[in-house]
Amino acid sequence: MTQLAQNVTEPRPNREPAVDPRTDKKPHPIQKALDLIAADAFDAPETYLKDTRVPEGGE
Amino acid sequence: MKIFDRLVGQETEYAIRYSRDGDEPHPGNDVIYEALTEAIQSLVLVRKGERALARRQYFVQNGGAFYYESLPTSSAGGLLEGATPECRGPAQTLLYQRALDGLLIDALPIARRILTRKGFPGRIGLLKNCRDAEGHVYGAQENYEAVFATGVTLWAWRALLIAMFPLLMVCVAVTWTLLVGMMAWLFTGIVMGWFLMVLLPHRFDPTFVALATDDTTSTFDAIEGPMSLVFMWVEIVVWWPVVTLLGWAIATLGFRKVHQSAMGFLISRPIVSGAGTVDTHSLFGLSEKGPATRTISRTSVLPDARGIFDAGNLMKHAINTVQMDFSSYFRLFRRRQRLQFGLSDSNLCQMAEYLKLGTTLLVIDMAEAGALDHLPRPTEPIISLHQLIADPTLQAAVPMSDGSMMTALQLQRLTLDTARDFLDRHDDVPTEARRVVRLWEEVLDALEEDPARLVGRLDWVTKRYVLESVAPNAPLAVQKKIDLRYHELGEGYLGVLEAHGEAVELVEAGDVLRARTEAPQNTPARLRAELMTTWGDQDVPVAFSWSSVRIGGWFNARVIPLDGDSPRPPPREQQH
Repeated sequence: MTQLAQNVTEPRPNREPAVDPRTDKKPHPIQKALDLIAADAFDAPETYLKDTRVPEGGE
Repeated sequence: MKIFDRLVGQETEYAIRYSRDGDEPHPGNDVIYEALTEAIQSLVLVRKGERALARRQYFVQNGGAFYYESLPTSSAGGLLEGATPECRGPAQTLLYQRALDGLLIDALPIARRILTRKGFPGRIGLLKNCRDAEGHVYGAQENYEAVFATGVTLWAWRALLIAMFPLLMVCVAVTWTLLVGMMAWLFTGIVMGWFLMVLLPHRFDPTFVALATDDTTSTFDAIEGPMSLVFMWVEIVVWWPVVTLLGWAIATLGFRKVHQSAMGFLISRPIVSGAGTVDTHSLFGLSEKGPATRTISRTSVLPDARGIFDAGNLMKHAINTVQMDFSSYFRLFRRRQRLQFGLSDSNLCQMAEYLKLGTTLLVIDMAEAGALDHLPRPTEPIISLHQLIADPTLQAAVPMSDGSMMTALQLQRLTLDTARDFLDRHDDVPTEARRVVRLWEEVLDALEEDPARLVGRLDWVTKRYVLESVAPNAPLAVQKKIDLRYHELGEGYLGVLEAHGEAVELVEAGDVLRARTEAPQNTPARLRAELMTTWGDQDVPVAFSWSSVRIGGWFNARVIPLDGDSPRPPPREQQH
C-alpha cells in the first residue's frame, strides 16, 4: 500500500463551470448556486429546524 | 524535536435529520443509526468495537470508528459520532476526515432504502455542525498526542495518581455495591410483580403486565431509560471526588506549556476555523461552539462544563476502572497523552479544516519547544474569546498581559510570525509545514483586505456570504435554516457551492476514496486494520479498541497493544 496524503495539493476550484450553450460563455456559477439555495431556504424552514433538533447536547 | 511528529485524530458528532414523508412516526435516531450501520457495512469492512454494547461502537476498514452518542434521558435522540483513524500531519488528517464524510454520504441513500422497507419512508440527512436551532451544543473534538508533563511536574502527577488509587478502589467498590443492590431490588420487584400479576391479572399497569407476558422488548424499553439515568447519576455522584480531583490536577499540571503559551492563538483561531452561527437575535458570530465554552480546561464530565481544553478523555481512564480495566488507568502515568480540544467547530471547507489542524500542530510544536513563551497572553481568556467571536468585522480587541489590546487578526499574525521564525531556526522542516505557513499568511491577508476572497475557503465567511446574499432581511427561521443546512453532508448548501465549483479542494477525490479502505501508515490504526482483516471473520471473540485488540474469551484472551509509533502484529504462527 502506498502512503496517502503526504501533502495537500494547491487550492483549486473543485469543478470547472460548464459552458452555457445559449451564450457560449461560462455562466457565473455562484449566482446559480445562490438561486438554488434561496429556493430551498424559504421552503418550510420551521419544519427543517424541528427535523434537525438534537434533544440534548452530545460529547 | 521533529515538526508535525505526533498522532492526530478528529471526532465528529453528526446531527441526524429525519423529515417525514407523510404521517408516519419518527423512527427514532437509534433506529436510523442502525440503518446507517447496516449501510456502512455494505460499503466497507466493519467490526464491532469493545464498546459495542454500551455505545454501539464499530471500527471500519481504515482503522477509524463510529458510535451512537446519546444521553440516558434521550436514548432515541442521539447523534452519530465518527472518528478518523490516528493520523500524522494535517493533510493526512484532512484526507481521512473527508473519507469519513464521504462514506457517510454514500451510506445515506442505502440507509434510506432500509428505513423505507421498515415503514419509515422519510428523508434522512447528517449535519456536520455543532449547534442546533435551540442552542444544544455537540460536534467536533480534535486530538493531538502531546507531552503531558516533564520533570518534577510529571512526578507530581504520577504521585497523585498513586495517592488516588485507594480512593479509586473505594469508588469502584461503592459503584458495584450500589449496582448489585439496585439489580437485586429490580429483580425482586420483577418477581413480586409477576406473582401479583398471576394472582390479580387485570388490575395492573401495562408495564407490569408486560413482565408476565412474552412482550419482554417493551418491558426492557420501559425500564432502559430510567435505569440508564440511575446509572448515570451513580457515576456522577460516586465518582465526583475522583473526577474533581483529577480535573483539577489535569488543569493544573497537564499540558502546561500549551495551556499557558498557546492561549492567544486558540481564542483567535475561530477567525480561520470558525463555522459561523446565527444566534436567537439574528446576530452572526464566528463560532458555533465558542459561546458555549465556559472554562479553560474541563473539570467535570457534565455537558455544561465545556472548556477550551477537554479533559474528559483522561477522566474516562479513571472511570474505566469500574469495568476492572486498570490498564486504562495506568496509561495515565505516561509522559505523552492525548490532548483534546473542546473549542473546535466542524468544518465543511477543506481550507478551514486543513489550517485548523496545521496551525494547531505547529503551535503545539512551538509551545512544547518554549518558542511561544515570550508572547503576551490574554488576561481574560474566556471573556476575550466571547468578544472576539461575536465580532465578524474582526475589529474587537482584547487585553493582553503586556498591557496592549490586540485583535484576533493581530493575535494570529503574531503567532504566524513566530512560526515562521521557528521553522527558519529548524533543520529538516517538512515541506508541509512551510505550506501551512504560506496558506495561513494568505488567509490572514485576505481576511484583512477582502474577506470575500475566502468564500469556499473558510466556513464562517462562506456562510455569512450566503446569508447576506440570499436572506439578508429574512425571518430568523429562514436564516437559521441556512445556518444549519449549510452543514448537511452531500446536499447541504456548501455541497451546492461545491457542485458549482465554488469551494476549493486540497485533497484528491481518488485519495479520499482509497482512504476509506487503507489505514494511515506508522500509526496504531494500521495494525488495528490488519487485525480486523485477519481476525474479524474467525470463530473467536475479538474486541477492537483504540489502544488494543483482545483476541479470545475473558479467561484465555491475548491482548495485542496498539500503542507506539509503529506497533507490529504478532507473528503469523501465533495468530492461529
